[in-house]
Amino acid sequence: MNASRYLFASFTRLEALVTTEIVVSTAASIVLGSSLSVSWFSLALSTSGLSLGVFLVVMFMVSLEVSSKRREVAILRALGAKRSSLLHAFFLRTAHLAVGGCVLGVVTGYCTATLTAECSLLSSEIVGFAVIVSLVSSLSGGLVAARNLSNLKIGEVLRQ
Amino acid sequence: MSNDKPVVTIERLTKIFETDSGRICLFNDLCTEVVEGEFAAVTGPTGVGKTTLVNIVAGLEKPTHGSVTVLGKDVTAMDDDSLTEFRGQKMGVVFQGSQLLANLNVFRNIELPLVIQKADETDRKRKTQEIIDFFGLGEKSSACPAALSVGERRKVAIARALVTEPPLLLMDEPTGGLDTSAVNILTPLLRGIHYLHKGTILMATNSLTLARMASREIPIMRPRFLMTCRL
Repeated sequence: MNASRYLFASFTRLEALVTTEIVVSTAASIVLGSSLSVSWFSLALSTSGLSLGVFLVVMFMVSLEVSSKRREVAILRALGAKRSSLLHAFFLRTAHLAVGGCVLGVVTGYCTATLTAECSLLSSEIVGFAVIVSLVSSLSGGLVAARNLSNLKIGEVLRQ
Repeated sequence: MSNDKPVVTIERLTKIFETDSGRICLFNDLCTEVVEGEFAAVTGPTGVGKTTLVNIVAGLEKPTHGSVTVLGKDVTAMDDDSLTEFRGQKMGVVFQGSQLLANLNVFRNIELPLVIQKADETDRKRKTQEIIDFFGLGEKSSACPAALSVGERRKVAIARALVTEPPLLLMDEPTGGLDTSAVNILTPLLRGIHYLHKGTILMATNSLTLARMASREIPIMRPRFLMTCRL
């Protein structure tokens, strides 16, 4: 069962925030990575900070998304939808946002780095590294948050 | 009653709730059985645990003690995924307050349990249309729940519970919160459902009219307070 179509009817503000965070983080990693004045150590440090930021923002936002859809999730579970299919739906939604955010982030980062005189180290390795870091941190944040679904008490939610 | 094959067996059921003013004990070792084809009504005033009993039978809540066996399976001991699958296949549940998905129209709300069961699309559409016609919801099939009256929403919820033709139909206050005219429309419909469904029905209600319609009443006693104050 494709639970996504029953849970996500439109693009919400929370999802817009998640996407923006991923775009900013990916673009910033590319710009920093291609900058001549940034050492490897400070690059590693700032990338870690950015990826931690993405992880926390995605985890927090997806947790809010899970809470706001508690009733829908409880109805689907009560009608026979397995927890794994709902976890999959939330994970897939996060993956869509992460991929979309990374694509926009690469475009933004590439444009910024090309237009900035100091950023002459731009290479496919730097872009690939920035994309991988953003994808891993956002997907892991989404996965941790979606696990909140496991604690859902269907009977209690449906009574409210 | 067609025969005496038990569909729901409740043994020594107790549910204890912790509240600010102490512990409340519901059911107090309730033992009862609902056999195949029977229409049983769980009755009692508000707050005695009728909804809790329906939820426990549906496997949506766990009891503190005791067991509930539905069609030979102990729903209080099943793991989460098996229970969810079992509920989807063997039970139709009508919740208090209808519980429809707001972003889906009537047709898609009713079709939902068949989608979850991965039923064949042609078969799914046919069954959904048949039940929509039976409930007289044809004109509303593309409307969203927000555009329906409370009575119509309740009809959609009942149709959704019946679309998979489950052997056990659980209904929690099917006429609760409805005005008199909606109750007058829904009551003969419920009688018709019992006649046509041929399965077993367990319904929680505090309506005397609905309780009289059932073939048997399961009265729930008032809850016991195990502790009235906390120092």
